[in-house]
Amino acid sequence: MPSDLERAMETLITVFHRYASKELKMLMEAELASFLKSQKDPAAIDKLMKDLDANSDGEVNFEEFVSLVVGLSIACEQIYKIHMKQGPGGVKKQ
Amino acid sequence: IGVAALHRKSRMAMISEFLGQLTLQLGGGDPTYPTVVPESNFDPDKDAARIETAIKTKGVDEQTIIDVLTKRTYNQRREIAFAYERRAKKDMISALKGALSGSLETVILGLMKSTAQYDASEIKASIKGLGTDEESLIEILCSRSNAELKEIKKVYKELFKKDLEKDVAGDTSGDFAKLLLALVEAKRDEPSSIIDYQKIDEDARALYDAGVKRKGTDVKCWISIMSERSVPHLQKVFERYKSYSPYDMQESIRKEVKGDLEKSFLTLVQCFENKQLYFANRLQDAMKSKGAKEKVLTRIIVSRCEVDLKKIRQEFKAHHGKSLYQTIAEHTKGDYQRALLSLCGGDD
Repeated sequence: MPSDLERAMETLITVFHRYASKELKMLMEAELASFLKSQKDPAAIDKLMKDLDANSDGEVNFEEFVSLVVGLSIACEQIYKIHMKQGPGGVKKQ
Repeated sequence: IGVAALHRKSRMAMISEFLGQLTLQLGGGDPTYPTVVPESNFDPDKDAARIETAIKTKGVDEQTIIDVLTKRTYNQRREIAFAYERRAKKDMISALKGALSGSLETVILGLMKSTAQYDASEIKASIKGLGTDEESLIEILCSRSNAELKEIKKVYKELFKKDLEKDVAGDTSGDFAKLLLALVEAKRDEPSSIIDYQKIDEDARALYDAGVKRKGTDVKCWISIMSERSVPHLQKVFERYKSYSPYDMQESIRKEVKGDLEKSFLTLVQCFENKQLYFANRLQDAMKSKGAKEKVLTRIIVSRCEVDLKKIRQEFKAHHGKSLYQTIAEHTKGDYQRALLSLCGGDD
């Protein structure tokens, strides 16, 4: 029975591959519509997508895609903390 | 199962909501407006040959040296130096040192250093020997970013085998020293995509309470806020500050502190608000004074030509009426002038 986290990772991979042969812009418009809608500066989105292609080979590979997801997740977690009115917490390392 | 599904559904909507609250901040780093850009069709061997000939020419062909080195980026200049050493079996920098002199030599040797090396050397020169050139120290330490300061610290240790912190502490004192050391620690927050309105308000109020509101000034509070918060955050703090204090941040600084501490805080705030305008004003002051302060002029042109000199030109023209190019032409002469004008770029 896959865990929540395992299912999340699987989703990352399948979503990425659903758009692998298509354009990154299509992925963002389909999967990150809420984020795109809140950006007032279209140039910022273009720069974001250009910056994602870290090795400048014209394509965004899974690693580059996941870095975007990580950045957004970190930002969302900061809002999550404020919402849950919790102080800075962490998962204890064993 | 019903409950789990509901939970998951509300979690999904939650993320969607959070994503809608994020505002992209353009960059990791500020947009750049350099005047010196990589030369296309770059041929380091050809350039090295031209420089070798120029140095060997009777009376030294300074014009060629200027033409080549001021129109290449630092990385390209390094490749030329390697090519030079391969063909002439000599170190190019030493050869240039021998062939050039005066202000031109200072410019060219400055161009042969990386940004961090140049900054580190300038800092070293400000604190070396008897007395300290506080103005230069303030200009460099208060205008460089976290990333730049970290790099400077590393290079300083490599070049001079000393810790930058120790040298700065040894040559300055009191609250001035505390501020510089806090900046050198380079612990400034990175810009975040979240705007924390509560913290902005708290910081604005803290700055007011620590300064204008009370007798004397709690400098420690000012130092910690101005050296630790991110720049976009501070820009909003200074705006909010105006709703508590009858004086804006720069006026408050002038009222509350004096001397080098005052200069440092002012430099910091001016750089947060508009760094290129700060440099444009500094250039104007340097050239206006009798016996143009060449050291400052050289340093700003050399250290910003690959960063934001183009924007500095724009701010200069907007605030001083004349173009930077024209002003340099009027206040300098000879090969030194030619080199600066070449680095400056357009007359606009």
